Formats: sequence, C-alpha cells, structure tokens
Amino acid sequence: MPEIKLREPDINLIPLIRECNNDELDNLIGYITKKGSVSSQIQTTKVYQKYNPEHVKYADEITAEIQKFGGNTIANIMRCGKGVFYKEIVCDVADKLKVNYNKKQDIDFIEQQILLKVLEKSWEKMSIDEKEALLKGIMADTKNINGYREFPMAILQSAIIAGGGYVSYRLSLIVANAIARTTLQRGVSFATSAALSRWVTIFAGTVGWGITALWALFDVSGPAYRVTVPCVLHIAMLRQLYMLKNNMVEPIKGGEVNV
Amino acid sequence: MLNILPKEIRLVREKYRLSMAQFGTMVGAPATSVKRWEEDVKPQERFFFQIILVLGLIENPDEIFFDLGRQGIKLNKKHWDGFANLVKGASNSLAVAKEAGLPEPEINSALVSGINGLLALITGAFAAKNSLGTRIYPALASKIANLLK
Repeated sequence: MPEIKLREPDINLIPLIRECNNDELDNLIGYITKKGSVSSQIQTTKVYQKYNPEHVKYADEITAEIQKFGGNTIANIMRCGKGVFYKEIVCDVADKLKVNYNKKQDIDFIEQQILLKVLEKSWEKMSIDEKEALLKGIMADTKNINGYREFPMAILQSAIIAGGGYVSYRLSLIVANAIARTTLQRGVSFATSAALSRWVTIFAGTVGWGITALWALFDVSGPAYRVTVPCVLHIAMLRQLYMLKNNMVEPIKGGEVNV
Repeated sequence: MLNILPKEIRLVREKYRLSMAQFGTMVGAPATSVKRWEEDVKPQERFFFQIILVLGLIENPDEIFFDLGRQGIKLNKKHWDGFANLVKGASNSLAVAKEAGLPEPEINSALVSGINGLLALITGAFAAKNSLGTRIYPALASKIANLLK
C-alpha cells in the first residue's frame, strides 16, 4: 500500500511508471523534489527515505504525488486524499497550450500534440541549421529547408504516423531533454545512442527557450504547473520509449540520425 | 460528498465529543447552523468549503499541508506541526484509551485549539502571499479567501 494515496485504476500512468527503471524515473523525482520548488510529500515517506535513489521501490508514491499535483486542496479532500487521474493532468496542460485535441482521444496522441506545440513555439528561434537537423533527423530525405518558414506541423504529423514510433520517440526525446536541461540543469541519460544523443542536444537551447516562453502561460495558473508540465513532457517520452520496447524494438538502434 | 456531509459532521462530533458550538467555532458558524446541517440542510458555499477543510484537517493535517504546498501556499512546518500534533494527539489518545480499555479522554478542546491554529496559519500564509502580490491559483485563492474571511 503506497504511503501517498494512489488514485486507481489509472491505466495511463500506474503501469508505465511501474515499468520504468531508476534512470528513467530520476528526472521525475528531480521535478517533484526540486529545491526551491513547491513542497513534496514523497520526501517524507519512509520508503523514499529508506531506498532513495532506488526510485523503482517507490514508483507508486511517485505516481500518487504527480496525481496530487493535478488537484487542489478542497477537491483532494473530497476525493479522500487522492489526486486526479493522469489524463486530466495531460488535458489540463493541453488546454493551457491551446492544443487541438479531443478528450476522448488516446493519451499518447494528446501528449504528441503537446510536444509538437512546444516544438512549434521553438521553431521561430531555430537557426536554419537547427531546422535542417531537426527535419533530417526525422525524415532523412528532407530537402529544401528554406521552404519551411512556418512550423511544418502537418508534415511532422504525417511523419509520426508513418514513423512506426521512432519519430514520436525522437521528438519526445528532444523536448524531454530540453526541459530537463532548463529545469534540472541536466539532460536525459538513457536509451540513446551516441548519435541520437548528439542530435537531441543540438536543440536543447532553442527548445529550452520555447519552453521558457510557454511558462508565462502557466505562471498565472499556479505553481503546480512547474511540476506537472515537466512531468508530462518526460512521461510522454517514457511512453514512447516503452511503446517501442513493448513492440520488441530497440529504441537506440532505431535508424540512423543524419546530422 | 454533499450527500454524506450531515453524517460526516455527526460522526466527527460524536467521535471527539464535540458540541455543536465547538464544531461551529471551527467553521465560523453558530451551533444552530451545525444543527441544521446535521438535519440535511445544505450549507452555504463558504461554509461548505470550510467544513470540508476542517474535516480534512481532522482526518489528516499533514495531507493538507502538502496539498497547500503544491499550490504554492507555503507554511512554516514547525508551526504547522505544533498545531497538527494537537489534532493527531487527540485521535491517537482516543485509540490508545480504547485499546487499553480506559475511559475516553477529554480531547475536544485540544482538537478545537489545534484546528483553529492550523486555520490561522493557513490564513496567515495566504494573506502574506497576497500582500506580496504572489500569483496563486485563482480558483483556490477565491475559495480560501471566502472560507477564511
């Protein structure tokens, strides 16, 4: 029984977090317990104090803490001390970003739209070289970069559908890496080949800028977003990673990155 | 929650031997209002939120501490624990007395003091935030402002 009350059955979060290893959970713990951030309950639990940094030992407490960041005090009391289902948190972030989605759509689709929105915001600050690297890393046959003055949303949507999971994973990795560097001053350090890692790092600055610009939308809504937004972006990446893994596909060998 | 509220209020009052007047002081209402709520009359919104908050504080003050913290309302942990221990102590004393077969201790005044202290801390933290112009989740801010004024 988790020491923080878990809202079950949260099929969009509980199984995923239970599947992750310590490295994959490390940034989530970073977002929740970041010094100077809002208070975190997980640090007061016995299981955390005993096992930290073996994050897998308190995976349910991590989930419960994220769920509780999505609620407010009165509503949490009325839910018998439990937070909200994860999809509500994702939809809330999507609403704030004015993402075009439908609540009935699968969570991975909504997460992809959030990731694309972050990239769209960063696009205008990217140099021609960065734009070229981004598009060639996703679609190796990309030509005539000058033709993409506007963010190529439709083309990326098509690439995601055609990419069999690799494209989604790579896009999510760019954004998760950028938010980690912006927030925790470190990137993501797992499931990436050297080439993929180098490619992802190219965008850390500009995508980080895009994320910083988006903070303004969240600041007026409450400090909990300082935790939920990075968590949503990181979890979106973890979901894509495990979709590949569960389909017996090795993410780090998923095609070459041409940069 | 609204449907079970009369039962919840009665159960808490009976458990801690709280008079209607004592429960009323915690939620800023007269005893007659508490009587009406127990008779299924729906509380006004500002009382409703304060009743929920008080019931939550009685059940688990530490949960509320962290819930408020997640929304940017930071409270002094040392001060919070001082009052929260009164609330938790009341509950523990009842459990211990029951286990040992002893008469129920008189813990109602301690409980009321603890809850009122916690509410004062929440009010203080909230007022301090507002005076500094810190941005707070607007819906929560208006609810807390209403229920604590």
